[in-house]
Amino acid sequence: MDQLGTLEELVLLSVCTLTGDAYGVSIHQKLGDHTGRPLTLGAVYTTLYRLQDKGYLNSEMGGATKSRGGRRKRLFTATGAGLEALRASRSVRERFWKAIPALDTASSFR
Amino acid sequence: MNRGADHTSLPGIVLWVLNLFCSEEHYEEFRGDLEEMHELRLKSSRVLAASFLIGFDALSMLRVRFRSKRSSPTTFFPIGMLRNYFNVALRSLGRHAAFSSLNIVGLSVSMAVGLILILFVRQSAQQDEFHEHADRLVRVYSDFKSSINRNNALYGTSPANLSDLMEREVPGVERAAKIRSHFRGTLVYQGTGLPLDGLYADSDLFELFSFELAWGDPATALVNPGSLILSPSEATKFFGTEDPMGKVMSVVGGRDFTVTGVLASDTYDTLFPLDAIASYSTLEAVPETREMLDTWTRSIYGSYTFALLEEGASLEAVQRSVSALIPIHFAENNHIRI
Repeated sequence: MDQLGTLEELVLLSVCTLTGDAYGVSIHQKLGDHTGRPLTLGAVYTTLYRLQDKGYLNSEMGGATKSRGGRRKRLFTATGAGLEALRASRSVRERFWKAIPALDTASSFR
Repeated sequence: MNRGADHTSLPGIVLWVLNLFCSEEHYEEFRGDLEEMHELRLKSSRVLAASFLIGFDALSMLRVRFRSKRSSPTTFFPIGMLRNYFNVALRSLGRHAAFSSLNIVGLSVSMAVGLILILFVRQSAQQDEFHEHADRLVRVYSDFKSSINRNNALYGTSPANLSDLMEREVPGVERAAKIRSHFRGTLVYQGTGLPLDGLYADSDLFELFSFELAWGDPATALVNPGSLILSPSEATKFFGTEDPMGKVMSVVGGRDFTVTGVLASDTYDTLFPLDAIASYSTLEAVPETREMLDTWTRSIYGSYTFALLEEGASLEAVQRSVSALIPIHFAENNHIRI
C-alpha cells in the first residue's frame, strides 16, 4: 500500500469530514480553515484525482443547482481502502508519538 | 455538454482559458467550482482582487491535465533523468554566459548561412530543369582572349551565327538556337512606360525550350521584324484585361513593336529574363547590326547559342566538332568549347 503524502492525507480527511458534500470548493475551504495553508483549486483537484487513481476516493456528478451558474458538482466519497490508508497513516504517527516520552502525555506538552 | 454562454460572473479570460484547455471530462465541475469560488470571493473582496485570484485558480486547474501517474513507478522513458540533464546543461550555460552566448550566436549564424547556401545551390541546380529536353540541351561557352582581358577567359556567350553553322555542319546537333540578350529599355504604350528586361530570339526558342504561349503561335510569333512576346504580368500592366494581340508599342529611342504573343506563365524557373521577347529578325533588319552579328569578334558579346543534341549523341564529339569550326570559319586564336 502506498504511504499517503501530507497533502493527500489532509484532502482525504477533509473528504471524510464533509460526508455527502465533498467537492472542489468545499474541500478547498475546509483545508483553508483547518490548516491556514494557501492552496489553489488546481492543487486540490490534482490531489483528489490522484487519490481516486489510487482507489482511495470515489466520485460521481451531483445534481444541478441554481447557484454556481447551474453547473453540477463532482462529489467525492472515501472508499474502504481510503479509510484504511488513513488509519495506517495515523498508526504510524502514533507509534512515533509514543516513542517520544516527553510528548506522550498532553500534560507534559508545556 | 453545454459550454454555451449562459449566465456567469466569471471574467471573460477565465472562461476563455477554460474553454481552450479544459477537457470535456472536467469542464462541468471546474466551471461550477470556479463560479462558486468567484461569487464567494466577490462578497468579501474587491472585484479586481477576486478576478486576479480566480484567474490564478483557473490556471492551476490546468495541472489536472498533466498530473503524473504515480501508479506506474517504472516508466520506460526516464523523464526525470532527462530533466536532470537538461537542468545541468542550462546551469552550465548560465555559468559561462559570455562564452555560451558567443557559441550560440556563432552556431546560429553559421547554420543560417549554411542553410541559405544550401537553398541557393538547390535552387540553381533546379533552374531550367523543367524543359522537356533538359538532359540534351547544352549551351556553347567561349574561351577567348579579347581586347579587354589579356588572358583567355571563359564566356557564356558565343558568336551570333554559330547556331546556324552548328545545325548545318556539326553532327549530333539536332537543333540550335540563337538568343541575344540586352533587349532592354523602356517600353511605352499610350503614355505608359515601363522598364523591361528581355531578350531577342527566334522561334527556335520554343523548339528547344518548353516555354509555352497563352496567345499567339510559337511558330510565327517571332518571324517578322518588330514582333514582340510579353510575359503575362507585363501584358496585364500595359493592357489590363484587354486583348494584347496586335497592339503596337514602342521602345524609347528605338522602333515600334507589335505584340504577337503572350507567354503562358510568369513563373518559369529559368535564368532567361522573360519580361519580353523580341524577334531576332528585328536585329537582322538593321544593316549595321546585321554586320555586327556576322562578325565573330563583335557578336561574341551578348549572343548565346543553345543546342539540342540528338538522342545518344556524344557531348565530347560535338565539342570537338564545334571547336573544329573555328579554323575553318574564323582564323584567329580563339578557343570555343561547349
